[in-house]
Amino acid sequence: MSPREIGLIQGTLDYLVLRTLSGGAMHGFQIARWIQQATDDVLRIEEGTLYPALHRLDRKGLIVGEWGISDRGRRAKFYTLTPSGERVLKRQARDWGRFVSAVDKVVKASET
Amino acid sequence: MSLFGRRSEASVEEELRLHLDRMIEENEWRGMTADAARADALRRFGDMQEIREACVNEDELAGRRRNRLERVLSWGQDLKYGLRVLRRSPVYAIVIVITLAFGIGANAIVFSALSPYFVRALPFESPDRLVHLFTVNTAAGFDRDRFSLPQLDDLRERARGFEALGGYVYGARALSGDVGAEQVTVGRLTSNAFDVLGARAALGRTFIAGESGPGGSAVVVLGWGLWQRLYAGSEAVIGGTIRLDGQPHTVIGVMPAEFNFPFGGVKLWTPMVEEGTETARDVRNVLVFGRLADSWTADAARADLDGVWRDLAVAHPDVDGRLDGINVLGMREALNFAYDILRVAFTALIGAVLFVLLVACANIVGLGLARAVARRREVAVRAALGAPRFRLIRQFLLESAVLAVAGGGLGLLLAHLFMRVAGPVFPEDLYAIGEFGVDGTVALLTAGVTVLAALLIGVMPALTVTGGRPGDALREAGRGGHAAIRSSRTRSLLVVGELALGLTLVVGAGLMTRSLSRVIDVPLGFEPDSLLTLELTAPQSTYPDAGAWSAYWNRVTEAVQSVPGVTDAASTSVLPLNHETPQIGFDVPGRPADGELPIAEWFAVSPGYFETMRIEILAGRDFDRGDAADGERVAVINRTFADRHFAGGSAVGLMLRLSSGDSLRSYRVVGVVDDVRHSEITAAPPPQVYVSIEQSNRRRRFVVARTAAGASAVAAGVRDAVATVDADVPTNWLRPMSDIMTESVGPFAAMSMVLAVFGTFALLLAAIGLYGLIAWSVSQRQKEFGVRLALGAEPGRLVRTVMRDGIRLAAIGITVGLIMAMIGGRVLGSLLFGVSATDPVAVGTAIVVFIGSALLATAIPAARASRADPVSALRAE
Repeated sequence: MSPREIGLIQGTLDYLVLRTLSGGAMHGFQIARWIQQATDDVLRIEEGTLYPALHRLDRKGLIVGEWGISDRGRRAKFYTLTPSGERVLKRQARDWGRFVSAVDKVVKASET
Repeated sequence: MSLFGRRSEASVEEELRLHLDRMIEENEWRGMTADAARADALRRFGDMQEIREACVNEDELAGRRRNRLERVLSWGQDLKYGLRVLRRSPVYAIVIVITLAFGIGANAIVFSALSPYFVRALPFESPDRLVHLFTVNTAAGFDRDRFSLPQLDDLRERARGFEALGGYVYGARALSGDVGAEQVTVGRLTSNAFDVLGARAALGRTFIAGESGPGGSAVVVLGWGLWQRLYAGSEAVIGGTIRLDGQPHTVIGVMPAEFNFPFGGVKLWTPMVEEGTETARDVRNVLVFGRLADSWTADAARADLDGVWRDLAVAHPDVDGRLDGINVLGMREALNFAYDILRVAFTALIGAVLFVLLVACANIVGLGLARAVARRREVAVRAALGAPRFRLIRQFLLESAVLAVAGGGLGLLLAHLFMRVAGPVFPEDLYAIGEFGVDGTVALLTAGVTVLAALLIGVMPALTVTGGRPGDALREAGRGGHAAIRSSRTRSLLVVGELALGLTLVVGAGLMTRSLSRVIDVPLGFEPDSLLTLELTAPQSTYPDAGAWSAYWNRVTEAVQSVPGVTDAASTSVLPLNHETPQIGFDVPGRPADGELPIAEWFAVSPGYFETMRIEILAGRDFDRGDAADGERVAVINRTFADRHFAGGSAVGLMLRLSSGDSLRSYRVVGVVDDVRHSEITAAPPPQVYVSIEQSNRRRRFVVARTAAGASAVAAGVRDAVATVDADVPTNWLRPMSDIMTESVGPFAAMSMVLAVFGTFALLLAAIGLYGLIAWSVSQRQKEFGVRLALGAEPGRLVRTVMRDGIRLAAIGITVGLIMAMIGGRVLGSLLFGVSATDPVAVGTAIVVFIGSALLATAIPAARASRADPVSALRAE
């Protein structure tokens, strides 16, 4: 299932990227793989969406990309959370929690 | 695509390629062939081009945002840097701020002084729709003459260009009430006048229809100042009673503080209830103004009035037909009788203060250039580190702006303090709106001048220093070189400019000073020193007829005469140079019968007046007690009258006729006296005629007293003596004749003083500029001079070389200055008296002063050239 199809595309992808980077600096490929593994392959990030999202978050000043050397000795662009990115992440975590529990209630209610 | 865009694209490309490569690796690791691994990765990646564009697009947006932010931040950085630079050389900064404060402050002072006359809105509703009407009498030389009430009525009926027309007169009245007696100037208005002006009372009401005219009401509206002074602003004054010339008037209103009509000296207003002959068509004593009707311009109204006047001239050939039409003027210009002269004076003053500011700025630029050359290294380093030129220029301009704003602020403060503490006191009868002082317009103009100053002092050093290649500057490193030579050329030009501007101001000051001394030296025809004057009006209630006034005046004159220290005393209808000059039409035997009567200045004086004033009697006799109301009507004429109209023989014993209403009355000439400068100190007297005051009803008179002890010493005694005759008559304007003289001389004195101050300031700055330039060039050439001295050059010769440079600059500056002074003299034009704009004394003095200053400013640094030490000069390398 691709994030594009669940209708929360942008907001959700941004949230996932910020969440992922809260663990430390990563380059694009690492971010994609980390999300995939962390969700037990349920979410697979489409490259065509990931990179524009990274650059958009960079523009908004939530993350910042800097060139460095990857663990395999190759030049790679590493992204880290900025302070304002951390603030946004915290707020989104709260909102996301409320959203999930609300949806959960609706789902459970319709089940009974 | 921009450089930035290409860089971003490459970066995105590399980023995506890494990802793709890792996917291919993964696929290969899962066992795909290289080709299949690549194909699969590419397929999963999607449209590579589209992704790349989306990323680059985001990057560009980010880049633009960052640029904006950086731009804002960089202004702050440059400002901080500039402040740091200035803090490092506080003396330099302080000198510049103070110089600017004086330069800008002088501007602010002139703006503050002109604002009440020319800028502030008149305190009326839509004042630009208000105009003043005057009759024109070309034969008499008047274009600001008055109307009679019947004429005003005709205009109201016939003129189409006006919403409404109002009329007014003004005059002195004795005010009495619970608050003591004093003389006040009262405006008498048609009942619609306040409405035409669109002025409302601050308290109570203004006049209503029917309160003026026959059977009008005895009501009065007080001015704010009078109300505050006499009634401490108490609202209970409404409905109360005050007496004007003994007649009770009911107070109906108080005007707001800013209301001012027709000039500041008028403190209260009554409706115009016609007195005596005021309703006659030929008693033209009413001033008329009006509000233009919608869609009418002043020109259209004037054209319409021309037609109306032609009809009236046909209907009334002996009154209206003798006049030459109607003049329409804007209210501001009409109410201020000195409008023309003030306009010239302020044009000259604005020119002068701008010159002062230019000189100040030139001086600062000179200083700044010297400093900027020293800063070339710093600038070169910053340029080498990648600072673009515009940023270096901006850096200099920001520093200048900081200095200019500080100088401008301080200047505005100086102007404010000056106006508060030492502000000029201008006569109340000059129409001014509000007090002198710093207002919004002044602040705005000053801000404009400050911006001008910032540009003037910032642009040139910035361009000079940041021009050229940075490498050159680093190599030259403090030794001068191209930049130094170029900046010394600029500085020479600046010094020339300063000298020229300064000379112009000093010549102007010289011309005004010469005018002043000419004015003071003008033979007045009387002796103003040690003369005391006062004004009295015999109230109607106590002195109902001419016989009673006459008795009162005789007793007053005797009382004043008996005061110790007073040698002579007499009375007169008006004082010379006191802004009051009545005129009268006259006729002499042999004059062609048709045409307008010639006009003479006309005074009524008591016996002993000529003696008291020291006016020389050239032929015949003074008035005496025999020239009483029932005696033969007699006149004394002045020399010009006799020369012009009784040429070729003695006028004494001959007859002349003076107009009186519709008719002419005969007078026998009993004497001829010298000309007196009565209306204007600067104009040759026209024909003048004196009549016996006993034969001319005069309720209001001036007493003149010649004193042995000095005018002010006997003032108190004279006041007491007048009070012993009748304590209820207020003594007004008790003052020495010299005070009145000061008013006449005042404008010349003020202009010459102001220009002298500005000129001195400019001279000083120019001399400092020249000194600075020569001193700097000597210091640059120390090595050369040292070597030349070591090779046996005469020290005197080196001094002469340096002096020659300075004197050449001074000569150019003075020459340019002379040309500018010729033009400046024309601006002063009508302000000059008795001197031409090229007056050799004024111009010569200025040249001598400037050459002297230039020699001094050059000689001091030049002497240093002869003391150059070759050894130390070489060692300094």
